Amino acid sequence: MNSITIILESLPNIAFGLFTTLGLVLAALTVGFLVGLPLGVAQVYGGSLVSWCVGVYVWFLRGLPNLVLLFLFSFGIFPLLGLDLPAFFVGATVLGLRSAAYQSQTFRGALLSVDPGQMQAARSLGMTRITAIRSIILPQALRIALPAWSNEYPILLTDSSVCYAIGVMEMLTRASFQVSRTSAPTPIYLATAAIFIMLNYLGMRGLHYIEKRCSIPGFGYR
Amino acid sequence: MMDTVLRVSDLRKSFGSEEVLKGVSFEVRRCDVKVFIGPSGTGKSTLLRCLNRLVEPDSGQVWLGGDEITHESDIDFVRRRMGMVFQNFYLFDHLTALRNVEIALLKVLKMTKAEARELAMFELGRVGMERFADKYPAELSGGQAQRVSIARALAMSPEVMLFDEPTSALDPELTGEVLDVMRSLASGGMTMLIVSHEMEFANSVAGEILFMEGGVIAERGTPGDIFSDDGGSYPRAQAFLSRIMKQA
Repeated sequence: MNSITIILESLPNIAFGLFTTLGLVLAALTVGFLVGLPLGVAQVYGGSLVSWCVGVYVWFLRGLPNLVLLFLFSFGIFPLLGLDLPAFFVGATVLGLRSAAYQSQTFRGALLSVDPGQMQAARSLGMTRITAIRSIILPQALRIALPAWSNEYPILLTDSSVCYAIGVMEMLTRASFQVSRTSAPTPIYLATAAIFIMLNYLGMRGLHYIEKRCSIPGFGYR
Repeated sequence: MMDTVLRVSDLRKSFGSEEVLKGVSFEVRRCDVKVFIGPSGTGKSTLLRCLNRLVEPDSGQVWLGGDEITHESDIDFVRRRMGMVFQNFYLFDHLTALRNVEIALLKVLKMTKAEARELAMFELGRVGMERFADKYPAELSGGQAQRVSIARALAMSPEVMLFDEPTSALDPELTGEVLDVMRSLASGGMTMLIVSHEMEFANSVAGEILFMEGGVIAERGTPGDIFSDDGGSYPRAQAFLSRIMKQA
């Protein structure tokens, strides 16, 4: 069999894993956003105790390798709790919670970069702190955060392949099955690499589009 | 007492070991225009910020209408009744001029979209900015931005307007348009407290000049008395005025 045939033959199977990989990335991005944004807000606007707790969370999740966390949850914590969860769910949760730690710091930086005068002006009009954060500070902070936040996509996309280790049927898992079947690692891993690069390109294009759509004249270029 | 809008009694504030306000008292009646002048660092801005508690005073009392507000727990409700204009405008950078004026009407006063839009357009009209309703803050000149920020405060129908050096951040050729808006507000009967370095403006618009120095109101009087003081009744204000005239 020549390389072309091998690739053509294996490709449908690997490409099927593309949906699992994208699913992992989107789920982790979403979990990371839904957890990371409140954490960032809490760290900036919460009291010192809240802020300290967020700091500890961030310290732990950023300080541990993905693989260690995956094994810990997959073979340790979840089974101990008597939970028999699908590998995909465990993978998405762990990647998401770890991403939340990183995302919270992106949001924290963005929140801190909003001029304190914006909060003063909002409060002087009678807005509560919560309303001011929601209606004035966050819309600005999210726009400021977007370029840095976009980093999470390629990071999660590439990190998602570690879910191979707990048996999620994502692209790398399927690729290695094909390698065992054909004993032709080079063409198959090259094809897999090409798909990753393509996904990365398309995702970044999408994020740039969002950035453009959300941009406001003169804002964010100070 | 009926028409007393604001009464301030022995207001004090320290930052660390430095006492910035050392007991300030005054009273503001409806339609009063009071201008605070004095060297920088004497607590003028801090005083204004203590009135709506953007800065929490250490002691002393402030009454707004009949309500003592220094211990009022619902400060947000009090702040609706006092408009504030900042030196650096602080327009909401992500919102158009119109949305800047609308947003508190929607979020604080819970107006409907149609009501808020109508009132916001009216207020922009009052400051001559209705043509710029769809512009973002970065697309406005400093003078235009400050006029929008005045409209934003006016839309809340405040009982008193606080101006914290409203023209200090502006290029000299842009101060006129802002001062004109303030003049027309004053002649329309708005109650105003103004911190300003614009002496000509203070002279023409103020009912009373309060000269602050060292955290207290050192001297006070009508503009006529303060600015053309021949009898030497206002030595400290005169010393300050001659200092800044020399610079100019």
